[in-house]
Amino acid sequence: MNLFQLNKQHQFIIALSLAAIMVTLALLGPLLAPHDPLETDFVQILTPPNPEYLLGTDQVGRCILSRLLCGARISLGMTFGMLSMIFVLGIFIGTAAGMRGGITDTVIMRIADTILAFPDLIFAIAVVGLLGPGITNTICALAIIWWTKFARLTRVLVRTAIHSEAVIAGQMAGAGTVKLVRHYLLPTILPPLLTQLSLDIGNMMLALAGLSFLGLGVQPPTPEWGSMLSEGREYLQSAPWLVIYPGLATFMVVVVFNILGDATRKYLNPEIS
Amino acid sequence: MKPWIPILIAIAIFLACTTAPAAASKDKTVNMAIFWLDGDIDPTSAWHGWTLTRCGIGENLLQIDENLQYKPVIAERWEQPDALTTIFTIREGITFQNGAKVDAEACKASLERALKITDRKDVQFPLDSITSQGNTLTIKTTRPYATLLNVLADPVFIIVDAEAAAQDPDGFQFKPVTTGPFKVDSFSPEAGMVLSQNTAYWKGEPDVETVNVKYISDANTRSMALQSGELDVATQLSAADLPILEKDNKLDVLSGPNLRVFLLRTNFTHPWMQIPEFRQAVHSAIHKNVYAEKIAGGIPARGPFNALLPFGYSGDDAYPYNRDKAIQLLDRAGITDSDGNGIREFRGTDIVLQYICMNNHGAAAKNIGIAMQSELKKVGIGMEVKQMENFAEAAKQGKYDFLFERWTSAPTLDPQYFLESGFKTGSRGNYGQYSNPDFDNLLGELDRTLDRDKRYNLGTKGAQILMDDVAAIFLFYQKGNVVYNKRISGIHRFVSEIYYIDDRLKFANE
Repeated sequence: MNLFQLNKQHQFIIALSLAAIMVTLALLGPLLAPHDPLETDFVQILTPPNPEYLLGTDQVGRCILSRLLCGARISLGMTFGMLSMIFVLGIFIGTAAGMRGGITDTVIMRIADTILAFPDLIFAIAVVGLLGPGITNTICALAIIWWTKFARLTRVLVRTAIHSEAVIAGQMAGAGTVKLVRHYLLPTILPPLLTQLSLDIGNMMLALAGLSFLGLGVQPPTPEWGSMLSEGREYLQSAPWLVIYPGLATFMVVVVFNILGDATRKYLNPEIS
Repeated sequence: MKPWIPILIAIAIFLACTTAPAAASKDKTVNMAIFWLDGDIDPTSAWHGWTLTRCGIGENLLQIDENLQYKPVIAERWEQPDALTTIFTIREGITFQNGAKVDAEACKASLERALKITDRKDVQFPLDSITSQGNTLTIKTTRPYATLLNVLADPVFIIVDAEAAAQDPDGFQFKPVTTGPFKVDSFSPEAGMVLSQNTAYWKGEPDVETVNVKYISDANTRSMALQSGELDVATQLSAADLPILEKDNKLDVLSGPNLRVFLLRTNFTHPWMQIPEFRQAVHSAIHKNVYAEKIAGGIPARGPFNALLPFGYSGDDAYPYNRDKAIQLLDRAGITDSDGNGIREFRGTDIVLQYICMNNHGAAAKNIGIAMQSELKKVGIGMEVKQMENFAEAAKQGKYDFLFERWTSAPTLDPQYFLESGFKTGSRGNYGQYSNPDFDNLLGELDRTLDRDKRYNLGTKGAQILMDDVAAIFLFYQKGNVVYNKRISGIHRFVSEIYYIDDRLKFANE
């Protein structure tokens, strides 16, 4: 039996386990790292992988394995931090637009349309250019664009759910707005939103790594996979391990989260075969 | 459709792609890369003239050859009958690329145009008069000026057709009319230039018909383009890539020290930087030699002037690496870590220095910053490293502690230019607002001194003052390199880096 023949539940559990392993590795990264990820060793500059430095050293003699492990926490942390921000913001704004309708809905959706008119990465580069480089500013720049996606989806789901029997029953039972949203609306709209969220993790990781690659995200000496790729680019031919390992790490995490997103979608939407 | 048809098409496309470079190699075109190009190529604009000399487009009255010797070019000879007068004899038979004759009058017009337009103070000289008669050009200065010949070799004084420039000033910026073996057919600040041979060149028609000059700022891209055969010649390749290029049978590598020095300018407007012990401690805390050799692939610097120069410095560094001494100096200056967070404070605030460099300074600039960051932390000094597209604004506003700079410290083989434009009190390039009356007095003396040996001696002394004051941390001298495909020849490595190709460029099998 291979992965493609597993039922939806098993697929979901396997994908979730792989993702959990990666998150655990990221959380324990600093404890597992064999060396200090910031410590330079000028004797070991650009050393290929060897028993002491399993993945080799970089251009100032830092351990790449240690930087990858510690960088995982930053890369994943930034991604989840941003996801939480846009998820909460998107649901709040989308629900407000969907519930209130009228002018509130029109204004919010036109703002969202305007933001969506810009190519996301270019817009983010412009925002980071204005705010200055750094982790927080990068997260803010991408959050400014991506809340719109969740807000629009939430609004559509709310507009549909508001006419469902459960919500009408809640209204007839005299539930206030907060109670109505919390007890009747959210349980209906959350599954598709969570599916979308899990499908977006990979894209967000790549966008954040892209901004760090351009020097707009984390600043040296903080280890982060995108900036490690950027720093290693100059040594593509002479010391390829500088880009191979961060590249592989990014690839694997994005693949795992994409599989998780797909499995979540199938698991939460039983009608999808 | 029969299954073999797509296979045949694929084979045809593959063959077409693989045979294309061979076809290209048969024509008389050379592809070269330059790592820097600005918005125009009028030699009187800033340092834009370097592009013209590097690509064999423009020539001066005299130039500095690959062995750092003066070489007569448009002037066939010169003499200095007295301290105020220099007489040049202009070579017969030279024409501009538009066919106009080059005589003393044309040279006079070109020099006067350059002096009028250029905003570079370092190339202005105390001109009394320029007179022309036939092929004799006489330049008189108001006072003895020791570096007149050096200055006239600067690309800002490339001899151009001033009349053509006056008729079409806008077009001239992108297609200057000069005398070199190659002339500009098209120019794009983003892509580069296409040059064609100057068939009326005074030394004879160049062997190469067309030169495609590609502007490629990324060293890694230049390396790969050389390996793929897309480029025939490129310079300023990354030190890390040189061993790979040396192993490539179709390439030749010329490498050695040049006149370029990389330094960290100190910002004296910050109160902590005004404390001599603090500056000395920073200098002592860093492994400068390791940065030079292992990170930048260069030669550790002992001041602004390379030992290749007659005024170069080959003594010991003023504050060599010594971490214990750095800690003692900081403690002695009262800069301590009172809150125990690992970072020392100055007047109650953690010291976090700002190190800024530009993207086009390359990976070494940032990597040296990262290495310094790690070493300074060990003596209790924080540092942030920022690499930006352009730091001109940050430099003007003084938003830095260390500014990474790249200088050709003696482009005309004289110490005055660098010392004066970079560190004289109030000079435009003195972003760090360094000021030392002894240094300024020395510059005054240098300005008045005509004797070459005495000038060299003053240059060495000036460099020593800068090192003692830690007016800058002189990091490394660059090892210049030129890599070219063996299908071409006549490539030379100029120590000055002002020239890359000239009329000697030809195809190897001819």
